[in-house]
Formats: sequence, C-alpha cells, structure tokens
Amino acid sequence: MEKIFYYPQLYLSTFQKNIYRILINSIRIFIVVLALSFLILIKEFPFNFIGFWILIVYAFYIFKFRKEGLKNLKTEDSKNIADYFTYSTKELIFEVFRKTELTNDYTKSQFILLSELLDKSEIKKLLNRVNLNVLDIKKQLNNIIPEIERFENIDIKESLNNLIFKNLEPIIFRAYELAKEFNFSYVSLSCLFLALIEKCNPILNEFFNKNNITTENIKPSILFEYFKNKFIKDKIQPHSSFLDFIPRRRWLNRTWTTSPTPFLDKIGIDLTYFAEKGELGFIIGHKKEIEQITAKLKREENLNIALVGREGSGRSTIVYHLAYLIVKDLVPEKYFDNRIIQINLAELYAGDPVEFQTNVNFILTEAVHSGNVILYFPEFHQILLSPIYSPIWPLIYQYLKSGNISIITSFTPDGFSKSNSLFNLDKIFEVIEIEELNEEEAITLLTLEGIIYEKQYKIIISPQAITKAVILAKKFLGHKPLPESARDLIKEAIGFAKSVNMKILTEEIIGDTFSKLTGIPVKAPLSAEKYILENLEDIIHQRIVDQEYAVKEVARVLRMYRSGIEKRKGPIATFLFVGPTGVGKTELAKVLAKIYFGGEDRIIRLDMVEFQNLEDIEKLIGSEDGKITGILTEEVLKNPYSLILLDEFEKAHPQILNLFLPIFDEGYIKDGIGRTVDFSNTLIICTSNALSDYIKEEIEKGKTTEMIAPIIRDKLSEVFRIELLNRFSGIIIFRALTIEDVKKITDILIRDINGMLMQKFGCTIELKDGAKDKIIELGYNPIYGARELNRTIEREILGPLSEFILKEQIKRGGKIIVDYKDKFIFEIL
Amino acid sequence: MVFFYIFEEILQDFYKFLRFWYKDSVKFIFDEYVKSFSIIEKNFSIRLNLKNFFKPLYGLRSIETYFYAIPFRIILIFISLILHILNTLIFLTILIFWCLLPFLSISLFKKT
Repeated sequence: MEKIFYYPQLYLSTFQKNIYRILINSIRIFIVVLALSFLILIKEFPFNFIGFWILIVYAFYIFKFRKEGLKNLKTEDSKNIADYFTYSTKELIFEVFRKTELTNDYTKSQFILLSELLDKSEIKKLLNRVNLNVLDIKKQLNNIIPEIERFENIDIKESLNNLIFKNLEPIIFRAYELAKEFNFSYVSLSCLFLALIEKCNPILNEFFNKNNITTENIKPSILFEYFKNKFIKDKIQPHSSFLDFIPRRRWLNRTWTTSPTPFLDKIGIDLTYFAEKGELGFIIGHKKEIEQITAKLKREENLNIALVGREGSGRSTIVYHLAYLIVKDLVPEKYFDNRIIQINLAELYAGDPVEFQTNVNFILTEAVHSGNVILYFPEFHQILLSPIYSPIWPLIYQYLKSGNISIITSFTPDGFSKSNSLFNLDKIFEVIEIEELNEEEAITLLTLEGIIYEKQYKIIISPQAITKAVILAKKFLGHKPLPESARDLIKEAIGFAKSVNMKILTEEIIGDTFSKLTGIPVKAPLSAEKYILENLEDIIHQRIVDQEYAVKEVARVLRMYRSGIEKRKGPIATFLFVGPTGVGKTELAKVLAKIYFGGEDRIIRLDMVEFQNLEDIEKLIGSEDGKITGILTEEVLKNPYSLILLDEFEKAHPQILNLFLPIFDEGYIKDGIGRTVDFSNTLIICTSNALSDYIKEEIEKGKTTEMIAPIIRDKLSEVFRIELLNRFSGIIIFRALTIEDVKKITDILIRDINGMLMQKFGCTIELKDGAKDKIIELGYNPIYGARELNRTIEREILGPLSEFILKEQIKRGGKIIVDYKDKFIFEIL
Repeated sequence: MVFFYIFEEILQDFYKFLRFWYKDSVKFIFDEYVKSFSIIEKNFSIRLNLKNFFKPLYGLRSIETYFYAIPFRIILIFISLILHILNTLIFLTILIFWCLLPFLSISLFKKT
C-alpha cells in the first residue's frame, strides 16, 4: 500500500493557519475553564459530571496524548502516515509551514524546521547528551537564516504551500521510516530531527557537519533516551507488573516432590531466588551458548555442563540467565522449579581435608536427594588443579557417573585445558565455549548499564563515549574480553570525570583516561607529538650516529601510521635490521620505544637463540594443554601496544620462523589454547647479524648501504624464506661503525652522563681527548662494534665517580675533568 | 474549513481518551490477568499436580509419604481451583467496574 502524508490543516491559507492556531488552543483552554466552572461553581448534575470527565480527558491530553499519534505504528495499519505522528510532531510541522509562508520563501522551510526543533526539550536532551551547546547552535542558525538567498519569488500562496511540502516531504517520510526502524510506536520529534540531518539540503548539511551534528552522534542518543525511559523498566527488571509479587523462594516445588536442603541453603547462593527477585538474569548476546544449553535441556539429560571462557566473558551471566529461564518456566517441564545453587568449594575448606570431603559429600547428597537442585561450581579448575582441593574430584566424579546429579562448572580456557588433560572432563561434561561479546552486543549491553551508571553516579554518559570505550578495549585491551574490558574503562573514566566535576562523560574523556591508564596515544597527534613526528630523524640522531638509511626508513613508516594512513592488516610495521654486531640495531629499537611508545619498558624482547628447537614453539605461543604459557603471546595480550624486538632472528628454528608469517601478514595468531592474539598495534623489529662480513667488506670498498641493499636482499634469501622476507615492511641495513662514529657515540654517552649528573648532583663532567681516546680504545672492537663502550664508561668513569659522590667530594655547581696519563685522572673543581 | 478542523481536533482529544479507557486499559487488565493466572499456576499447578498425583511427598519413598500424597494433592488442586476462580472473579469485577466507571460516576455526582 502506497503511503501518503495527509494533514489537511497544512493546506489552509496563511491567514486561516493563524486563525486556526489561535482558536484551537483558545478553545481547549475555554473547555477546561468551562469544565472547572461546571465542577466548582455549578456543582449540579449533570454539569459536575461532565466537568469532571472533561478535566480528566485534558489531564490525559497534557501528560499522555500529546506524545501519541492517532494510530500505533506497531499494531495499526494506515495509509496516511500522519496518523502515526505524535500530536506535538504534527503541531511542529504545522508551525513550520505557517512560519515559512510568512517569509514567502519555501527554501527556508528546512531551516525553520531545525529552528523549531531546537526549541523542544526532547531535542535539547539529545544534543546535551552528545555535549553540544543548543544555545550556540541556535545562535549560529539564526545568523544564517536571513543570509539564505531566495531561490525564486512565489506569489501564489497555494503553490508556495505545495513547494514547502515538496521541500519537507523526504524528511517527513524518512522520519516515518526511522520510527519503524527503531520499533517506536509513534513518529516522534527525535525521528523528525534525525530525518532532517539525513535528508537536509546542502547548506544545512554543511551546518550540521560544522557543528558535529551527525547521524552517528544523534542516532545512539535517541535510542539511549528511549531505552532510558522504557528498557530499564521492561527488560532489566523481569518483574515489572504491579501484580507480580515475589514469593519466598522455597526448596519445595509446586507438586511437593522435593526434599529440604538445609546445608545447601546455608552455604550456597540460590541463583533462582535472585532471578525471581529480578536481580539477575538479564543477558545480551551469547545466543549460540544459550541455544546449546536449551538443546541440552530439551534432550532431557542431566545438565552437566562445563562453561569455558575467559574471565569476564559472561560465563556466570549465562548461568544467571538459565536461572531466570527456570523461574519463568521457559525450560522443559523436567526443570520446572529447579534451583541453581552456586557454591564456591574453595571457601568450604577450613584446613581439615577430612571435614572438607565430608562437607562436599553433604552437598552432593543433598543435591541428589532434593530432586530439584542444579549445582554451579564457578572456576572449577581452581579446585581440580589444587593439591588441597583436588582429592574431592573422585567423589564428585562418582556422583556424576551415577547420573543423578546436575552440575554446571565454569573454567578459564587454560584452566580447562590443564584440567582436561588430567581428568578427561570433555567425556563427562558437555563443553560449551563462551565467546566474548562482539562490539555491537557490548555497546548495547554497556548502553543499558550506562543508564544505571547515570543514576548511580549522577553523570550523563554520551553514547559515543560507550562506543569509543568498546572500540578501544577491543583494539588494545585484548587480555580481557568484552564487555569487561570496556566496562572497566568506562568506570575509570566516570571516576576521572567526577573528580574534575564534569557533567557529561564524553568520548574525549574516555580517550584521555585510556591514554593515562595504558600510555597509548589515541587522540590525533598533538602539537608536541606532531613535532616529534616531523623531526623524527633528528630526534633519533640525537641517540643514533649516522645509519641514515635505517633511520629514514623507520621514520617514514611511523609517520604514515600516526597520520592515520594506517595499514589495513598486520602490525604497525615489521623491520628486519641487518648488520654487524654493536652498530646500533638494538639501540635504534630502544630509541623508537622511548620516543614513540613512551619508554623502553614497552619493549617485548626475545632472544631467538632460545628458540632453536621445534619444541621451543610452545615457549613462544604456549602449549595446547595450557601447561606452558607462551612468552610472546602472553606479553602481547597484556601489552598490545608495544615494540617487539626479536634478537638474532635467523637463529630460530625454521618452523618457528614460519609462525611469524601470519603475524606479519594478518596481524594476529592463535596461541596454544586458541586465543587470538592481536599484533596490529605492535612494531616488530627483527635483528640479524647475517651477512655482516659481506656488508663490512662492501662498505670498505666504498659502496653505500643503498647500493648494496638489493644484493643483500638476494643474499638474505639463503638465510630466510622468500615468503618471510617479502612480508617485512623494510629490510634495513646497518653498516659497520667507523672510529669517527664511535667518537660521536662516546660524545652522546658523555652527554647523557652529564645530563644525569646535572639533574641529580648539579655538577658536570668533561673528558679530555686523552681520556676519550682511551675509552674508545677500550670500548670499541672492530668485531663487536660499540657494544663494550657503555660498559667501559661505566667501569672507568662512573665507578670512580660514584666513590667521589659517596665521599661527598663533589659539590653543587662543581665540575669533574677526566684525563688519561697511564691511568684515568679525575680533577674535581 | 478552519472550524471544521478545530472541531475534528477536539473530537480527537476525546476519541483518544475513549481509546485509552476502553481499549488500552482493557488490554492492560487482561494482560495482568494472564500474569496472575501464571503466578497461580507456578505455585499450585493443577496440571503438574495431576501428573504427579501418585508420587510421594518430599521425594521420600515411604508408606507415609505415599499415603499422604493423594489427599495433599487433592487439597493443592482444590486451592488452585479456588484461587483461579477468585482471580477470575476479581479481574472480571475490575474490568466491569473500569468499563462502567464513567457511567457509575453519574450516581456519585448526582448525590453530591
């Protein structure tokens, strides 16, 4: 059926519209006054009766009917979509027509529509939620309306009317579609506002963009406001009806076939009782897992389930939801009136193993005898893997084997792998893997929780803040699953916002809090960072001598990443640093970690010599049974924004090197127990001493690193597989150091010492040429490069210096001059 | 034309009220009746009591529990029936009262 928008009042002439507007409200007021006088003054039947009911009607009109349309979009069908528009929306459209006609310029209709919408409290709330200043927007709008040039002059009123309608028609119809999309009952002002943003003319579109009023901003705000009013009542609390009384949860079922459980009642938590009270049972996502449990329930088997998922992935939430399903009789009849009782077995242990066994036996016996108890043991691996608690397993196993008991357990993935390898749990329990919520589900869940936080912390939470928290948590906080990681971030940000008296939690606060917590910059580069990026080569050269080619290449890749031209897949960059030992490969990695990731502690450093055997693969990514934790994967899960330094890369086993193919290519890998580890925010630097002699010889022949780069690349294929070499963002060649380079490095190191001395003791140090030459002689080796330089300075300079400091021979503002004549001579000024 | 639309609008105010009173509210009362029906069923299910008519009380297999089970279940079914009847009567009363309230109020206003 083709829909139309027919609101006949819009087709009245301007004069008639003015009359209509005045009369309709006047008549309503007149009726109310009349009704009041009937009720109060005349007091006689039937006047008092009529007066009373008219007042009732208008009380409803003010508080209820104005927010409703003539027909309900969900249940009633109408050809005329105007029937679905709320009275206040229709009234607003009428006003827009009237005011546009007064300007005699239909092109202004959309601007007037916006102006009218901005006056409504419903729209003000939406804009406030996204931290936009309504007064400011209104002011700007009022400035631009008179400036809009008229497209053409219209003299005939009817034509003007039609033109206004044509101008607003797409917006009106879009508002109707949006209300349907949102599953609203009526087309509200919010829908009209969003439709205007989507279907407005180019000038208004520019205005919206300038003021950051976008569909992405407003749509979640509309839903947030809607949910705030409705969802909390309907969904979060399962008992919303005034007739729903909360019966005292009893051990007795409705047919009196169950027996009492005094011990269980004392030590356990009856989840069904809390579900009945409406305190738990709400769930978002996890459809697959619920379906698996429901299927098991339908098979009428005992409910022996192992829920395997990371902490915070929603294992308990699923059990709580099952309790809710039982309370609502939404399970097969066998499970009607069942009780899920949560027991923390570890808490039962009071030091006596015999007493512990007896207590567990009591629990199991009561559960079997009661006939309607499902036991829930959370974190069951802690029991099975503990030498103190694990002796109870044979007892539990015995009961499970008898088939008279239902036990739900929860495990972490590695906990399950370890326990399963010991006890073959997958043959006893149906294993249900709990996947973390996807981003969309996490946003929905946290939006609803946000409503609770708003009440609890008295702060407005913008939907963008929630979205930002989820995106950041998903990208960088991989060691915790969604929504837990995002929830923690939101709570931290609320704390921060409250401490600085902010009333709205915006996405900027989320970003700032996140950066503070993790040290990861998430904002667009600030001026200081911009300076670093622009002058990256110079900054690196403050620490690294020469190696122009290497420095330039690395700087180029980093600039690309932070400017937003991010690679779609794979880590930030992957470099292979090739060159002799002691030429600055590791030093460059350290410098990058410091200036870019915020410190050398951001380096995950692995010596690949330790991974020469195929079995060492487990050391790197963890074993399948979870007994061995992967060094690389675990570190990246904890610190996803890091620099990974793989020293002596060529020395690892070829199969282990193959492991890096998917990391370089896709940016992720599965660890031993199947967790996805994301490398997309890491910078991977592999160092290699391969072809050092060749590089040295060629450089000595006078060739530059750029000249030998293609040959080196070819020759490297003898050391690494071509597929691996092709996946590096850059193969960076470091040439051997000359004596001149070493002198410069010595100067840098002395400068560092000077900085430290000035800061801590207010003094300086100066090395005479003789001392400098001796340091270079002792610290530099043509084979090992400048590797010993640091240690030589520590031994020869810093060692004696520390003695002077302890003896308090150095004063503030003093100077130490070091020279060499057969031995190092220190002169303190 | 203007007066026609004004008249139509005022009529709509009253139409909405009638719709609320006789459609939305009646539906609400009926929904609440269904909910209270299920609450009674949840506590004293006739069907489940009939199904488990001969099962012993408290899951204990003894002569006493078998002996007392049948009269007990009869009592439960009886209570359930009474509650259902009461529930239905209460809701019917509310429904009738609600629908007739505008008319019943005539006598109230007549007296005052």
